Amino acid sequence: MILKNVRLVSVKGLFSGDDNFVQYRLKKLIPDRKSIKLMNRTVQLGIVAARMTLEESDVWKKFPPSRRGMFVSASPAIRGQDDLHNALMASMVEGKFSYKSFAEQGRTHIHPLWLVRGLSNNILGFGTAFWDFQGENMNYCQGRSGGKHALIQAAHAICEGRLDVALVGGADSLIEAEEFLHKPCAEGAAFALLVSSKTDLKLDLDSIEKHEQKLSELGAGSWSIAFWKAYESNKCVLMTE
Amino acid sequence: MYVSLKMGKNVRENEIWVTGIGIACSAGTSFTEVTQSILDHRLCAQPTGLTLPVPMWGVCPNEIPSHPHFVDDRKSLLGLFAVEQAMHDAKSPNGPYSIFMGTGLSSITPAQLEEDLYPFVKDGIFDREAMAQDLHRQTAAPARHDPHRFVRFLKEKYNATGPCGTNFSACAAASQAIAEGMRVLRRGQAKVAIVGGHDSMAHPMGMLSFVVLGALSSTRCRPFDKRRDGFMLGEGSAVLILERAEDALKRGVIPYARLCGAGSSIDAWNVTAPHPQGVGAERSMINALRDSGLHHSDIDYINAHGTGTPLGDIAESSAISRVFGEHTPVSSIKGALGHCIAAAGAIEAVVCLAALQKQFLPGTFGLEEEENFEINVVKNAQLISISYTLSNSFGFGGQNSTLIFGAIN
Repeated sequence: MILKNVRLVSVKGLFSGDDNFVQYRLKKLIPDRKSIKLMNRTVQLGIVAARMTLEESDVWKKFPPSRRGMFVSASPAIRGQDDLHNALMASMVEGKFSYKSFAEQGRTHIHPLWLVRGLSNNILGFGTAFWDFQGENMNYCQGRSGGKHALIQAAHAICEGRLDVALVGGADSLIEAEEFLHKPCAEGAAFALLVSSKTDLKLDLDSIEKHEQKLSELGAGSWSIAFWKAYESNKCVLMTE
Repeated sequence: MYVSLKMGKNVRENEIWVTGIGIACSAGTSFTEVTQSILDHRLCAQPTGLTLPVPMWGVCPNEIPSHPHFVDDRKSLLGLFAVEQAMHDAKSPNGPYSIFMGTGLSSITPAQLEEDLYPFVKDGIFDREAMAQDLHRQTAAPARHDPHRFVRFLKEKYNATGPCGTNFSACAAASQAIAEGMRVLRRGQAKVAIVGGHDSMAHPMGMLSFVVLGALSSTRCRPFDKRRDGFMLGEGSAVLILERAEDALKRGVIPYARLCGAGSSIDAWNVTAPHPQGVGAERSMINALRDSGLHHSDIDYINAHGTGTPLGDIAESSAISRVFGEHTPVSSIKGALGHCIAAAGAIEAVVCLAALQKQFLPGTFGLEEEENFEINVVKNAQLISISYTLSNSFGFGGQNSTLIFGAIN
């Protein structure tokens, strides 16, 4: 696959299957410590990977915020949260859901920011605020295919002149979901920085797919992490004139 | 540049037409019904009748057919209804198809909650492990909560070989999905784009999300009013069939309107509040004007995001005022229909199409005592000649999306 008029500046990520993963103390790497309480694990992973990618190069700072965009693949992270279960349990009367109990008891079990924490587009919300990316953006929630789609759409946005810079990637944390999915699950995130260029970017999709097959279930972060892994092995990305 | 002249119509290069509409929301289950409801300027939301601080909600008034694939998923049933209606309306154009849908959180009925939770309660405590070990849930539960489930189903149903995606950008999701479909057609990656959004928040989990957030009105939604205090939840789906004009002309279909362009931006400000001056909203509208090749004075009607929240209306009106001044007519339909969250952008796109087809300005139901926002808010529906409409959708988290539609000359 060839992406026209874009240059890949950097790709960085973190993956729970890697030996050095434990060294990432995520909360210490979030740019604004006060925001952490509003971030679920997926968002924290995404923000850290995005930060690592941006720290590789200052080139993005040369472009105005309105020409900097962000494209993300992520999942909503409301599953498995005990506060939700507790709220719903408190709303049950003799096995039936009761709106009255819900109004009087159930809702008191939920934190006011429960919805905010679970939103899939929070990587975008926080990331764009941290680094002042005000341009075109998209948030995809389509499982493993999301990362590839996000990269292609970001490249189109640059090629078609709507952006000069795109921060694009995916994140997911499926560790808690392992018991429901009944297969090995992982967590991680990876981001790439694209800028407008006279050169094209050629991707070896087969190589990326092979890397993806080696990974445990990574949901919306899967393709982006495979892309980062393939990039680091120097087998998937070529710049063409 | 004009590339062809057929059926007496000038067609710009890469012009995108809306050739089919499907809709289900509190205002009705067809384009005709919804148009009439908006023209009549009537309240479509209904009392919830529940012991909750949620007095009104915008639920679909008519029965939506069930489907074996989505018996447990209200929002996908609404979506499928709208897709099938839109495809029928467009006279089932041949592909290749591209599909983009904006979607929201799982819609789960009280009965499903009972089925999901109660078998796993021991001594009043929810037993997570027992649920995990349950064989039925191994396949059923994750599928129900998969946001991409609906698009995956449609992709198979229509054998869509063009780009497909599920946009999850809160209240901007459907508008962004429509914009993506337009761009795919402009690039020639598909012949037909099935685009829109579907969502239902008229269920315990949906209400729970917004009740605890404090975003809902304690009475009813009053966009741009001095007493505004939040929105009413709604449910619905709207789907547009988009085609390049030259393809539609070859098929001989009569289009509803042109999709002239789209713009997007993000506030880059705060995930829980809009930028106070609406800087991101302003940029989204400017980007849409630029993409359409239009001047701000070309726009005859603005369908505002207009949620009726204290901060949201300030930010949006401030942005509209800077881009358009104080004369361009603005209204919000959320006071009549409720806020359909991920489907809102598509439903409001259909309202813009209704305005173009019937030549009227939709009113702002719920508005009684207007706040001084220095914009021209339309209180009651008015018959008037219009050529271009602009629709704003702003999502929680700061994502902004704007669409511009034009009448077919």
